[in-house]
Amino acid sequence: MSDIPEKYLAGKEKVVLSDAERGAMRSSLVDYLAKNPAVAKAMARFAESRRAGKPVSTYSSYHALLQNLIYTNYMPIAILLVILLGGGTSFAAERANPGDALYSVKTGVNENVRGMFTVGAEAEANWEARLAERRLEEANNLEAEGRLDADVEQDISVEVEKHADKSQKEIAKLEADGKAEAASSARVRLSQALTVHEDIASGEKGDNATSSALQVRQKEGAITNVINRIEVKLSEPVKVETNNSGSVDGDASPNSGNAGQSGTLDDGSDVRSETEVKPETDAKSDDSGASSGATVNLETSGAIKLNR
Amino acid sequence: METKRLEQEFMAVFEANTNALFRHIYMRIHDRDLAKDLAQESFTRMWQYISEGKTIDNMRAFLYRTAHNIVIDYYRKKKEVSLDALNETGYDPEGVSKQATEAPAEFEEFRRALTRIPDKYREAVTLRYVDEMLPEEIAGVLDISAGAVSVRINRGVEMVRKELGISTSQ
Repeated sequence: MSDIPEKYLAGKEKVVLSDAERGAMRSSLVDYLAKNPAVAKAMARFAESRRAGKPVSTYSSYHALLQNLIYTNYMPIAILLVILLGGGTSFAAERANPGDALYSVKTGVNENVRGMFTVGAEAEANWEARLAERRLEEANNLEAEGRLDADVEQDISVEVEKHADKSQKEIAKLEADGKAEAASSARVRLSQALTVHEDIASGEKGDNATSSALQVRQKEGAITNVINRIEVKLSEPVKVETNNSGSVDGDASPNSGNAGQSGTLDDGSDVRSETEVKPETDAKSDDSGASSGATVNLETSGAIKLNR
Repeated sequence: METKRLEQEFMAVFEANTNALFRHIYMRIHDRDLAKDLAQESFTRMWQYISEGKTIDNMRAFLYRTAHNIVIDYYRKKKEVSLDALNETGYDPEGVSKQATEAPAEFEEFRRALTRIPDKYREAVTLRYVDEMLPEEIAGVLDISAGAVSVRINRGVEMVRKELGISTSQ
């Protein structure tokens, strides 16, 4: 491979600032730091938590500080504090949106605690779908309050994508285990999670909701892009390696594909009709009984019950 | 007290990287005073980011990433005045160099060769040969794949060698 001969690179370290220039730059920066103080937080520890793959959000410095506290060594203490202080904080936090003081409690404590009690691929898939849905609800709330700026929108879209990806991974596990119906149900649940926020934003359900929902979509550039991407993934054919229940496998893709499309183009009534079908398929499934999260119907989902 | 510690950590990053970052930007834009200003701007933006409670996994990569954005902004603003035009209108890298740095003649020759290739390749070559980053690190700075980085470096090296009058057989 061609290279730059060493003689051309020697002595590059002599291209430096003079001591006076460095000193001037240092003084200038010190002044700047004094005028723009940082929030008290341990940067190194925070970076460490991020490297460990733990969720870190950047909605506000206060939120980041709480996140840091929660995701490092103080998780049990944080949970204990919430319990000791009573459910009031936790309950109040449920209504918090990004930028609110209690938002860290909502995502760091409430959702983590609930996540701990979620066992099994299907329940996990549904829970992650619900988390994606919660982020979208928050986006709608902020939009309604005129607080949805580009940064927050970007952060939310990242979170939505993260949860949707996790949900899809769990769905893939279900498919790999031959639990085609459970996988199909979870796909529908995820697809619904991505569409429900439109109804919420429009404040109504039914035919009239469509135009409002589309308006909301147009506003939510980053988020809509993410949703579209996820919907495309959801509508891709399901590859199931199992050799049982072949007919069910064949149904899985069209079901999920339709759900995704109805979420994109149709009103809430289509979504509801999709959910009404699901208890029958659940009843037929031998695999899905293991988990309470097996229910796909929005109205009967454990996650939804807890929230509303 | 965390704030103080954070400030100290930041200033340590400043002390450790000022010259290298200045050199990098200087190799990119060939204007000493401007390189100084843009280096300072990079540190300022980095502090803004940190002070808002946001996290940085890799300080060095973040710093160079910030510089990358700042230099791109600079070129966008100066779009109407190309580097070639600057040279034609009397810009004198050699004069600036003599005044401000004591780099050997060969290095200056290399730097002047860099001025004559597109910035995309100039940046890749600078990161690799002046900042001595590995393609994987550069990929993190430029937010492209390591493979794309290697392609950029190879093409850049070929261009620089051509400018230096080095034949491919050497």
